[in-house]
Amino acid sequence: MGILKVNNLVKHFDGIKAVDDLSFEVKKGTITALIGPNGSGKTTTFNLITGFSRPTLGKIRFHGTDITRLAPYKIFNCGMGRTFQNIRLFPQMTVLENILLGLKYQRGGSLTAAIFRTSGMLREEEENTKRAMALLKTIGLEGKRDELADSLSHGQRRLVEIARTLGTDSEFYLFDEPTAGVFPNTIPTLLSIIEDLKAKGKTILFIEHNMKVVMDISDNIIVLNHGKKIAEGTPSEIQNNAAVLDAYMGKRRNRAT
Amino acid sequence: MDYVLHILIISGIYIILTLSLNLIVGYTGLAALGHIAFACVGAYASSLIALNFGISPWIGLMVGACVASLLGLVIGFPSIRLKGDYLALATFGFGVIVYSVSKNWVDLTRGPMGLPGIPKFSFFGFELQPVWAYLTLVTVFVFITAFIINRIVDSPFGRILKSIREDEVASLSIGKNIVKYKLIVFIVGAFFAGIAGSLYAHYITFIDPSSFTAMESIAVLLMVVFGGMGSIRGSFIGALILIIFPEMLRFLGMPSSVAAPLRQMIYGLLLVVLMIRRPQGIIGQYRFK
Repeated sequence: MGILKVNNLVKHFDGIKAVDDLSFEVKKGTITALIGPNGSGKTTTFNLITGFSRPTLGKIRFHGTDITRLAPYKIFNCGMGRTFQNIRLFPQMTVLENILLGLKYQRGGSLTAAIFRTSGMLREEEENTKRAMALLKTIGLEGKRDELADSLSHGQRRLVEIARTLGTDSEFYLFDEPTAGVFPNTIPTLLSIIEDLKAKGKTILFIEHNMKVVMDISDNIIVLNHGKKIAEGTPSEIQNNAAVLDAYMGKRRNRAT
Repeated sequence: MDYVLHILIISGIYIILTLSLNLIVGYTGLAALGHIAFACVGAYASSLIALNFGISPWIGLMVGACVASLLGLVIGFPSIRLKGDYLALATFGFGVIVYSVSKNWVDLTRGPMGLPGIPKFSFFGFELQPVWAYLTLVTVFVFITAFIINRIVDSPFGRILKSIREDEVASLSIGKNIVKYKLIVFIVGAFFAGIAGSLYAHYITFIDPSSFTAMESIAVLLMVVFGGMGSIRGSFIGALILIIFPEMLRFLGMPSSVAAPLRQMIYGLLLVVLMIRRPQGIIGQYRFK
């Protein structure tokens, strides 16, 4: 039941192996966490999966089709939505516009629809505005709809980016450090968003440094270090894994001798 | 009086150029520096078919615009994969190529000798001779252009263009095929620049390559930035001020040996001051990143 299959993925940056022979599988309808120390290749793995970076070697399959060298927008069209570690909004556009850009336009997105201002486009715009407002409501920012994304706080921008990705109605979501830099009060909102997605049968892969979050919501955890997978398992398995402790805390020296 | 009307006609033609370049530079964020090449091709295409085959300027106008948008496709296809400064250099290079072709393909364009005797527009068999009639015609085209470009930018389609200007990577991540949108923008921008070129040719009734030098592309870009990137009204203001202001300096009442260089200097100074005081242009909201 693996919806996403990564096989022997390798990425070199001028001799540095950012990702080194990485293989894993993500099961449909689960929440999988990708963890590891800084520089262990988590974000690089995300970029390889979503097409923003091309692997040196290896294969990525989504729903059984090879998506390894597709353009990012094509991978998106296969049903993969993502967010970024360093939040990428459209800064000089309003919050509402940011959300609207994530929504699908069937008839109204074309040049001809724009020039002739077709009734189909206007209707779709109205429906999408309603949907966008509903999304803003789930993140509690409906009052900010007409403010520029640039003027929001870091945590609010994080929420808007996640809401924009939710609007894409993808099957598979990749969140890169969704709780980083977010006010602690906001974290439960984020977690309930992610758990709602799971309840709707969506699949989630996320990178996270907050171990409490990881242990609370993950079904499966993959641990990377130096681009290699050093462990994989359920939260309780990972908590007791010696290799993981070594990677995070450093190797225990044997002082008894 | 005819002098004033003439200046307004030229302003109108530049407003069309500025609006169409604003779509590319101001709304989509593509630093394109060869815009006058599209006007050049539009002007030559419609003049040549009028002179050689006696085809009406009305049809020539459309043919010129279509040939220009074809050039937009040809120039756009290799260039739009480049970013920022590199795109600017590539489009600048294409502008220079189009200029040299118009200057050196003597069999077709008569090169530096230019094309004289281009017919004027006619209306029910009457040639549009009076200057005011021509001003009306140009004004109509200015408003058609502004209307269409306003509709393009004020729509879900236009929103995608702005998202490309704001952050290409984010735009890709939500599934926008940015190469396709950039290409469409290039073609639409070239189409209207072609119209401007054709209007110019059938008004002056003479064209030669010197009207389409790289300096002209830069002048149009200045109008976009001066008035305000991403603003329709800004394009009107930018083009009007930068055409009319240097003309006003003519009347300073100085000997012409002083007036001409002084005009250039005041013009340059104005630009420097504006860029320091208001880098987003007179009524624009956006600035280069």
